[in-house]
Amino acid sequence: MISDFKKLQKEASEAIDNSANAADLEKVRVKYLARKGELALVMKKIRDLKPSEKKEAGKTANEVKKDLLSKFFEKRVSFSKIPDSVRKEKEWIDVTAPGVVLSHGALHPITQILFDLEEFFRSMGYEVIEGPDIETDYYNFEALNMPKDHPSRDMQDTFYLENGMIPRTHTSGMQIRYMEKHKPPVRIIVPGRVYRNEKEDSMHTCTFYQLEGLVIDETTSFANLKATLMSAVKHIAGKDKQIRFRPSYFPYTEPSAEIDMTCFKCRGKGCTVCEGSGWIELGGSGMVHPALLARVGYDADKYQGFAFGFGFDRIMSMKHDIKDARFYYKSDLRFLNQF
Amino acid sequence: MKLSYSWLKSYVDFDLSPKELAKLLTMHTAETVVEADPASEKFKGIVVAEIIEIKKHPNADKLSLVDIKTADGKFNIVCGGTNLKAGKKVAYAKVGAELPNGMVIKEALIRGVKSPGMICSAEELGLPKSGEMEILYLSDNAKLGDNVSAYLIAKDNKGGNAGGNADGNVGGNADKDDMNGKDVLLDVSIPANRPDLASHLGVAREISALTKIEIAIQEYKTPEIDEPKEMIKAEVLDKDLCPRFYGFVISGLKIEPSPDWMQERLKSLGLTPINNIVDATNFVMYDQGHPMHAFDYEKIAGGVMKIRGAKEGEEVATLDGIKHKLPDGAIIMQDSEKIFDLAGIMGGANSEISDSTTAIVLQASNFKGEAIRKTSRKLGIRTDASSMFERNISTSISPYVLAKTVALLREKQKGLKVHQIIDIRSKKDDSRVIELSGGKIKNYLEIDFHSEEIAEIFRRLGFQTDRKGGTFFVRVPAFRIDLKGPEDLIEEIIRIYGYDKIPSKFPRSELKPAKENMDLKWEKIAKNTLANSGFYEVYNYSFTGKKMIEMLALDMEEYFKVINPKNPDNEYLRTTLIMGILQNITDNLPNFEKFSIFELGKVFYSKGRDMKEAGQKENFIEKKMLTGAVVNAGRKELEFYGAKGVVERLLYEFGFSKGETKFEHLDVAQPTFHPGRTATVKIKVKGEGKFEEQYFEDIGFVGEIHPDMLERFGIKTDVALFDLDFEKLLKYASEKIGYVDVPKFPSITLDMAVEIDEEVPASEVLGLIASAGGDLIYDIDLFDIYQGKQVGKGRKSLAFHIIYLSEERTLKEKEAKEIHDRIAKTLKERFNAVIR
Repeated sequence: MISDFKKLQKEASEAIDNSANAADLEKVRVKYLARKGELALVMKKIRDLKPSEKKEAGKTANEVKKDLLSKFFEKRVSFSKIPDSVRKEKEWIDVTAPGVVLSHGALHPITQILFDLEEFFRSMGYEVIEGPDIETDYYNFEALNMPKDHPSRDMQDTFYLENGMIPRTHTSGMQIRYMEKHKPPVRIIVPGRVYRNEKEDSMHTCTFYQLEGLVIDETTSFANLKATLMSAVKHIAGKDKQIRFRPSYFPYTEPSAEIDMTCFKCRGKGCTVCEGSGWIELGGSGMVHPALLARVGYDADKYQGFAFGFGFDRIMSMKHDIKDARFYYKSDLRFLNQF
Repeated sequence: MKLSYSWLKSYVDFDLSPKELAKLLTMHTAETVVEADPASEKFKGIVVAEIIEIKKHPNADKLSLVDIKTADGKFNIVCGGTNLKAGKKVAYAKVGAELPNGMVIKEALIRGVKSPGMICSAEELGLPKSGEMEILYLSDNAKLGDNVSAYLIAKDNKGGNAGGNADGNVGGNADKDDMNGKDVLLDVSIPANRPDLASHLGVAREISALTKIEIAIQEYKTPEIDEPKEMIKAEVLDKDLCPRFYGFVISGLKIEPSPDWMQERLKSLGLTPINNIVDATNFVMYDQGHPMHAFDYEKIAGGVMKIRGAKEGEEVATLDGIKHKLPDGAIIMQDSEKIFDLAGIMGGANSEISDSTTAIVLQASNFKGEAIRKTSRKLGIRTDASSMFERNISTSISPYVLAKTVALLREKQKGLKVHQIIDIRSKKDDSRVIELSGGKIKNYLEIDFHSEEIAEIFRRLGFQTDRKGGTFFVRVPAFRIDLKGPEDLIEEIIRIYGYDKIPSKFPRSELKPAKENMDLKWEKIAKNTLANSGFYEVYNYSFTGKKMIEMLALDMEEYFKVINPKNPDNEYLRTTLIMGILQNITDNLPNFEKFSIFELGKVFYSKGRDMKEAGQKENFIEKKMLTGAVVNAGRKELEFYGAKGVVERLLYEFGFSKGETKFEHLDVAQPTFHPGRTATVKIKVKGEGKFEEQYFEDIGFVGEIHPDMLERFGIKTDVALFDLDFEKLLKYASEKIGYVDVPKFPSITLDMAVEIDEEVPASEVLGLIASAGGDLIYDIDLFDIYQGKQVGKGRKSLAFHIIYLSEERTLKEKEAKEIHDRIAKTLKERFNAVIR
């Protein structure tokens, strides 16, 4: 009896394997697996067996049936699969047509560079501070050694409000505000919006963004300023960039230095962007004037430090060759959706 | 300030081209550029190029093919010159350049070979022919791509060629001799603290210190008094405004033209020579950096000169013929009858030198910078004199200045007689000694100087140095008023030594974590949430114009006004971000059908707007707002629900769970928002009182824009807006989100469509479902709101997924169904609802 099953299993398996299409396979099914098929016929005979043989025969029968059915379904599935060659032809889409944006937004390019700078300075232990956009004359000028009617005030075109306050012309006022409330050592950056009363053109906007830095400790030196700015510039503008210092005058730093960085366009060779010098102006810096330290009650004989300030929107412009800075404030999505 | 190259050279015999000099000064003194001389306009498009290789023209014996290199690439030029030599620098006229003779260079085809431009001869550049040399060679140091004008400084035409030396070179060092009226101007940005530098002498001193070449300064002694006579009685009434009055009374003068050399010097600065006296005062002013003025003695009534501050409303007519109403504090001179000088800014017309003048009061007085600056601003006159005085010139140099002026006049005016020297001085700023420790230099710069090096730098600057131990005692000249403390001397050291030699070293200090700025952290979260939800961030100006304020029907009283805007759009500070956002929508709609934008920025207004603001001492409020818009979401009312959805997400990120936020129908109408399609956004906060009872606080709005407003902005699509007080969000934000455990047992979702009267708010229906359903309701999701034919007028249909879940066991379908039916029954009873 068991050998009958085995024989049938072999025969049917081969028939399933050999069927060339779904119709053949169906014939095989009818012949072997249908209600009146050969398997059913053999299984009927189990009834006639002795009870001692019944159990084993039944078990074998079930195994064979299970095996054949699974082979049958497997084969049937294989017939129903559409071959890749057909799919390629019938289910074709035009992959060269443009993609569809499902949902996309973006941070403003200045926000992006600001986040990057904040992260960078935080990694060196700087605290990030904000200050008021609208300042008093004292913090914007006077406390920074720029008394009223001093020609150094000409360095910045200033908006004045009716109430005597000033949309800050730089973030430097926060040096004083912070030092008044905190004891040294100090290590902060102050990013923020600053205002200049200028006629706008592609290079000048009445609003721009500045990053102020202030470090005060017992031995903070000009050499420290150089290393700090050099690394910041390399981080934000690329490893091939250099900085250089040249003399300048800011009433609140002494010695003072203008910071130049390698021109993006010509990489230092000299071009129309940098007017042939190979360098572009980045901002101002210097050693904090002892008068400021004394003004906020620091011991100017014990503490010294550096400060710097630069327009980081300008770096963004140069990095991406944005020729007109006014685009930052036009809210034109054709501009913004590129960042 | 514009300075003449050859004038500087008359002081220091340096061997630097104008460009080299400009670079030296920029790196060590002050930013300096070579003034684009009108010649560079004349030679526009004609640049320095270098010859690389010369080949024969295939079709013409007399022509060559020349490979040249310039700043923007290599070119192959057809050229007829016979003196071509590889490696030489030549003048290359690019395509489009116009030669001095008017010829415009085009790309030419010469005997079958293309030539993009031309190599120029001296003649073609309008210069005298340089012998047989057809092609003009430029200095070997000329920089590729530079305009050639910088290298064409013609020498005196000795020898009849364009300064060409034996091998045809011009320029470069073409200034050993007299310039042929063709000087080069340098524009030096004089720092506000360096009055001494605003002169040829001052910059020449710097050049001397930098090049170590001695400066040739002629000595001028105060003249002897020829015939003593008290012709002028001078009195300084306000000593603060005039720290030194210094003048000579001179007679025996004849007005005539000034010497040619002096006229040339003045012309080189762009000034028009007038007469010997005026020219001498101008020449010495630009030479020494101290303004002076000559009055016609006969025109000073009573021989009286009084110097005082003007009273508001007093008048004076200046040399330019303009009558000025003076502000308080202007410095004036007055005789027995009239005001005759606007001191330090411009002389008076009524004391002006004329052709018949024979006697003058020549004075080089010192005036207070702040007063000069204030007056000059108020009157809107800036002269070279006023900008020199603004920097507060040292009171010590007047005698030298007048001595030189008189000596120059005397060269031609043999009859000149000095009668009186007036010197009234109340402020001294003589040379002073500054103490500087070697340790401080090292501390600041981290450079190990030898003390000899320091002394040498100071010597070059004209400072005298004494040393005791490690300390320098530095005597600085009187005219260096900027030098006050040791840090000023450290700047002198480093700028002469070179900023580029400062080493680069990171600070050493305690390795302490930076304090986190939580406000900025939240700002980052808010911005990222919005950007990730498909919003573009915009930056608008903090200013606005009157037009916009009127358009938005806002209260002008709240606005802070800028008193000096250059542009009417900058006249006021913005009080809301909404107007910027609306303008952005208008601007972007021509290019985009649908989009979402937001801005996180500051607004400014007067405290009157909301008295609730606490802690603001001044009547001025500056705060951050977060405002955004959804423009045309593509499905009816999706703008509103999209805007609301993002606000909900934002509040969730800020730690407010569902039960802690509320959106309520707007109760007070306002011009910006749609009266029926706007919600007040509220968050649950803890009171500050003793019991910290909780209440809901308004933080802003979310709603559709009022159709009238859309019309005013010409917006023809639906827009929903949110406008949130970001400072309040910051105040109550919490990093703890409303986390609940993920369920262990499966849930059952059953749907229900509820048809009710349209004025019943969804929030009430939701509330009722929740309370009627009890603990086994896990979540309710309102997924559709329908109004239209199928439900009839005045009715609406709300479709919900109601999710049932037990936290203890697997809920049976039957149980859920029972609760579902109970909810339906309650809704029918309460809202007269039809349930589907």
